[in-house]
Amino acid sequence: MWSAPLLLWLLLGGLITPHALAEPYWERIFASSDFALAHFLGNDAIGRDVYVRLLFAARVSALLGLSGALVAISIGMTVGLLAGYFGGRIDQLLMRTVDVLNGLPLLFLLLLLMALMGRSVALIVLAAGAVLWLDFARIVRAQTLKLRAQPYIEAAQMLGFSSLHILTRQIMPNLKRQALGYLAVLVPKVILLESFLSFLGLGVQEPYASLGAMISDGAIDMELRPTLLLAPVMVLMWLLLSVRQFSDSMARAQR
Amino acid sequence: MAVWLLKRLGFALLALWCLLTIAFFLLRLAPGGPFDQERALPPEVKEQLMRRFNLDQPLPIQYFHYLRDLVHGDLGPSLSYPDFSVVELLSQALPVSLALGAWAFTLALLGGVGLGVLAARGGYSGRLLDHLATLLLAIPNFVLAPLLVLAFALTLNWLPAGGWNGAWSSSIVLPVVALALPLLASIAVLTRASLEEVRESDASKLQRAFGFGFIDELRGGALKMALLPVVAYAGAALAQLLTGSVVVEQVFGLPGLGRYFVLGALNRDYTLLLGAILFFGSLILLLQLLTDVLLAWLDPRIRL
Repeated sequence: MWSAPLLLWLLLGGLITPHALAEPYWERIFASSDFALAHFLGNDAIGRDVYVRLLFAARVSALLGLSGALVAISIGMTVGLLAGYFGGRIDQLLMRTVDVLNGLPLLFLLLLLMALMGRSVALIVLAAGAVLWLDFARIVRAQTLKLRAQPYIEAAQMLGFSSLHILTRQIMPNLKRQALGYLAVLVPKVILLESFLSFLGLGVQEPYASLGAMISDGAIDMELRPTLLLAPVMVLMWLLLSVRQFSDSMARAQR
Repeated sequence: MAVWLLKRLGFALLALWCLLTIAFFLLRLAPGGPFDQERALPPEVKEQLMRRFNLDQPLPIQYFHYLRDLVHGDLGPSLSYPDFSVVELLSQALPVSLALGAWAFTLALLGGVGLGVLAARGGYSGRLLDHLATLLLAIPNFVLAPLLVLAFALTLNWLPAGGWNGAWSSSIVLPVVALALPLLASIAVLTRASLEEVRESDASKLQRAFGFGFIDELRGGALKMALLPVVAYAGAALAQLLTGSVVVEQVFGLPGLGRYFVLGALNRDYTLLLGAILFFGSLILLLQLLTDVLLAWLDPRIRL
């Protein structure tokens, strides 16, 4: 399994950072790795230690991926529950909105938003969530429709439980499996989205690092020092593969 | 058929209008304006500029003016390059993006379907395709593009690393490949699964019982049936393809719509940005409409 060492590295690697994150070592611009001085992967265009930046960037990507996915799940769950449970006009309205939003190139609006509103981390997470909730809303709605037909829901309604209670205590717990499954699909998407934004310069800003930004910087100087490109690429691939493996094994365990 | 087409067209136009409206108000409501960038302008100059471009009027009036001009085909002057109108700037960029997108889509579709069909045939080619596809799908195009440049342009010197020499030159090869590969991988996987499923049907089994070979089976209708979900997916994936083109254009330095999009966003050039969004949106919706027509031709049940 790939994800266990990755998780360990992400969580505990912060204890062994030999250098500060944004410390430019001016005499070591584009230097190659030097184990004596604990620069494991060398230094980048302004002398910062690549290994430490990678560690930080990987953490940022993983955290943002998780948060963004959670936001998307929340929005999708809410919309799907409301549409599926109440039906009728509300359902029509919500699903039409989902249809229209599906046809729009939301990513462009996202780029626009990021370019204009500044680059706070909260905004990235919210924006990523706002773009990716559509499919999940459909899934939740289908599942809610199925669950609503169950006799215990009918019984609860007849006993006078409020809709809120039914939704949160009876229906939502039964959606946990779908939510977890889809979360596993969403996290890589959010990670990729965030990297995409950072690649274009619209994501996490200096002095913080992001895998996308490191790839973008590495691509500029790849003739000179290919490590600057290949290292963040490897880490991104590692991260994505780990999440996918994790979700695959979770899906297998549930069957 | 015609009615259905009109309905689809109407829906597409509605979506485009929604997109424009959202973008318009998002732009105007964001902090900072088009003239706040480098140096602080004296207030009279700024006021004069705002008045010239109608930026001092209330939002709904600006919106109305914009729509009215739009209907006349006038997208306004670019706020950061006032000597050029938005239409001028973007119409130079459109052929580039169009060529890139068209080549990439064709490559992804043909290559993907071809690979998928091949994989549905033999034993080991199927497993090979699986591994290849997983790998390709995991690589985002902004990672793939620099890697391709590193491999083919810098190390092997086979292809140019950037620039644009026309839609039929060698400078388009790497960008198209970088853009198309992820889509190619998903199309291949989907085609293979779909074709295998179709071959389980009674009609296919009957054909095999009569001694039809693989190719005859395909021509006998299996391919057409199998391609339905593939074409549907491809249409939906087009938006992603065009968004990916923004990155590819940046990496390879291609003078396409993506560049103006990024420029407009960075300079807060409202008119240019809205124009770019309009062009991109129209392109996407047009290509989706074409895919829907293709789908309707393939499957008569869709023509309601």
